[in-house]
Formats: sequence, C-alpha cells, structure tokens
Amino acid sequence: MDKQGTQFFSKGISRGTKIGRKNPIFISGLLLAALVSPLTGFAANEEPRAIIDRLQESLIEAMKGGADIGFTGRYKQLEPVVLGTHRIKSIARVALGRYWKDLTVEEQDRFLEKLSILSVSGYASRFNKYQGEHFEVVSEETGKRGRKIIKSDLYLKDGDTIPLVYILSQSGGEWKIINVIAKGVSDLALKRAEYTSIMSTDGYAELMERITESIEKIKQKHLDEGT
Amino acid sequence: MNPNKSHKFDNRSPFSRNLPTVASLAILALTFAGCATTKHPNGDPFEKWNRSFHSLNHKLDNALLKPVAEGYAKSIPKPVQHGVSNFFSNLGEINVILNDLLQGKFEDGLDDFGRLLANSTLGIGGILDVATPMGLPKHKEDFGQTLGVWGVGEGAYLTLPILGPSTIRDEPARLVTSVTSVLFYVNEAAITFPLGVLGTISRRAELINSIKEVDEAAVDRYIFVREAYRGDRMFQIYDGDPPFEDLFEDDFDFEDEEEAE
Repeated sequence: MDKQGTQFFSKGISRGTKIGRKNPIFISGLLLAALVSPLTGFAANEEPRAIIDRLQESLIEAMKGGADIGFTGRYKQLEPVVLGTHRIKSIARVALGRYWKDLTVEEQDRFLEKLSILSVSGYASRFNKYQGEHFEVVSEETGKRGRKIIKSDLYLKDGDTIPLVYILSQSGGEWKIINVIAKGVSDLALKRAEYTSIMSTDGYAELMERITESIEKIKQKHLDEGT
Repeated sequence: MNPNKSHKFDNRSPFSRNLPTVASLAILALTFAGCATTKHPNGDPFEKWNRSFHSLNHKLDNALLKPVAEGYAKSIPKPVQHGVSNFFSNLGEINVILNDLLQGKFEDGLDDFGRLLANSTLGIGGILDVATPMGLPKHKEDFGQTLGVWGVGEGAYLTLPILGPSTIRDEPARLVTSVTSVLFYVNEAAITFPLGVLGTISRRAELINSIKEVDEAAVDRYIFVREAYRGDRMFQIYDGDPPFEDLFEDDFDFEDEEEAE
C-alpha cells in the first residue's frame, strides 16, 4: 500500500472520520475483505515475490502443525496453496515432453490430477515438523521471456542452508511457479527425465501406476510413523 | 598380524601397493574415454549396464551398509559421529587445497590451508572443526569439479559396482582423491582397513535422510539418482550458482501461444 493509501486507511480507522464510521460502502468493503481473505488467502494478480512469500509462509505453518495435524492435515492445509502457486499444467506438459500431445484430453486430465496430488504430497511429506527453520528471499531477477527467478534460502535448525531457486512465468495475467531448483537439482528436470523414460519404455498406464504407487508410499510412510 | 609379512608388504611404494586400483581406474578411464565423445540424447549410453549396477548396489546397500549405518546413527553419540565425520573431512583437505589452486581460487586455497592447520593441531587431528567458527568455512572441491571448470564435458553417466554414480569426467577424481589422502601413504593395513570401513559407514550415515527422500520421491529410482547426481555436480562446479534457464526452453513455447490467444 502506498503512503497516501496508508494515511487514508489509518485516518478511516483510528481517527474515526466520517468515511470510517459512516460510509457503508467502505465498511462493507472491509467486511468483504475480511471474509474473503481467509478463504482464498491471496489477492488476484499477485506479484512473484508475494507468491513465494505465500508458499513459504504456508510451509512454515504446515511444519508447525507437524505430527499434531498429521500428513492428512498438512495435505489439506497445503493443497490450495500449492495448486494456487504452481502452474501444474505447464509443469505437466514439459515433464511429459513430446508425449503430452499424444495423450487424449482425458489422459491429460488424469495425469494432471495425479501430478497435482504428487506435488502436494511431496510438500506435505518434506515439511513435516518445525525445528526453528525459516526462509529468506535472497534476490529477484528477470530471466528469459520475462520470467522471474527468485532465489531463496531455507535455514535449517543446525545452521545449514538449502538454496532454493523458484522460476515463475506469467500467463493470463497470473504469476505462478513453473520450476523449483533445490541445491542445484531441478524438480522439472527430474520429473521430465523420469516420466519420459517410463513413457518411452512402458507407456502411459505404467507411468500412472508408478505415480500412484509413489503417492501411496508417501502417505503410508507418514501413517506408519505417525507423522 | 604376521610381522614378517607386514615388513615385506611395507617395502612396496604406495603406488605399487595401490597398483590394482590405479590400473583398474586407468583402464576404465581409457575404455570409456572414446565413448565419452559419442553424443547420446540423455548422456547415458550405458543405461542398461548402469541400471543393473544400480540395482545391485541398492540391494547390497539394503542388505549390508544401510542397517549398519542406521545402527551407527542410532547408537553412537552425536558428538562422536561429528568427530568421525570431521576427521575424514580433514583428511580430504589436501585434495580441496590442490583443487582450489588448480581452479585459480588462491584465496580459498589459503583459507583451506588455514583450515587444515587449525583443525589438525587445535582440532586434535581433525576431530574438532575449530576452523569454521574462526571464519574458515569448509569448501567442497575435487578434481572432477576442476575438470568441469577447465571446460571438460561431463561425458557419459556411469554407475559403478559398489562405488555408485559417477561420470567419465568424475572418474579421475577418485585417483586424485586417493593419492592426496594421508591414508594412501600409510603402510599398515591394520590401520587403513578399519579406517576405510569407518569412513564408509560414517558417510552412509550422513546420507540416511537424503537416501530416504530419494526412495520416497522417486518414480524411477535410477533416473532420479542420475539426474540428482548431475544437478548436484553442476551446482558444485558453479559454486552454488549454476545457469538455470537453459532447460527445455523450446518446450515452453506453448506458454507464449496460450498468452497470445
């Protein structure tokens, strides 16, 4: 919010001006904002940095929930955030490479659904307990095709850091994450290498089965360990 | 130990004693060097063999090394584990210094020499890492990275029996790492063998969580390990700042098309 906006807002609330106390449009606007923001958790057309902040704040929240809310609780908590901050369809297309266009629309949809579950499960599994970790954004650059590259560090309890690089693209006016690179290892490169290899040797049905197995394995591990 | 036998063994130079290792690595490097120049779509012309060795290594790890490393991680107090890890890290410091210099990182080389001195003396033979709090953090350098910095391509991906993932470019690094370690010049197998075993267990124990994550996240374990290994090596060669956006650039064309619609 700019300086003028801040002054207007503070006058409206703390000094009890005419606008703040009497204007029904202003008050209903505030109420609407208060009602809507906890549901969606974000405004439309978020800036790239805001997308990363939202994801990372949600991950810390999920970690704090830890074993108390369990894997299922973290999954439910993170699902809208992960799906709202990642451009899963673009990730899916690139991960399947030339095989994407060979699939029927139904097959593409089923793959998107599985990939979404796998992505949320991955976050809910890795960020499963809080021991004082925190994120810090290091830099924000503009890359090829106007993409944003946001570099960030995850500070662990023992003082070690994991450097993370988020690559975001803009489509339909919305910024979303298309790749995450953790300590030099690109999530998109991993997925693409794995999925295209399975598609070339065993085909779509096998790929779907292996992703389903992976999802089940993650879930079962946390159920067994009570985490 | 039979002292006569030991004495006879001691007469040989370190190179003679390690001749089988040196020779096998040299043969391996020469065998694969020709293949390294052959272009392959995913840089993995030996995938069939690699997959077999990957599977073998995974089975051996599950049967032998993993249970021992998990037992070590659970039963040995953490400060002792850190001490063991620091000791082996300190043994590798000469290798780091050599590669600092070969890459033209003279300041890092000086710092790492300071690390070696501080940890070997004040740190009681490297058991304590006193250098990091003194402002001399550990650097990770090896000859594979040096070759990368010099512009040598990574060559074919390899999975070696027992030794694990590597590339043609990284193979000579094993030799350089060996000959720059003090243990290479110790003539007593009664010292080097148990230390070698302890070092292997310690390294495996440090990887418990990472390997768990691989087992959990991988849809195709072999490919996952291959790509993670390559990504990690790039990360090290570029000192944590590798180029990112070169990946699959053309495959994002659809985003431009969608945007234009």
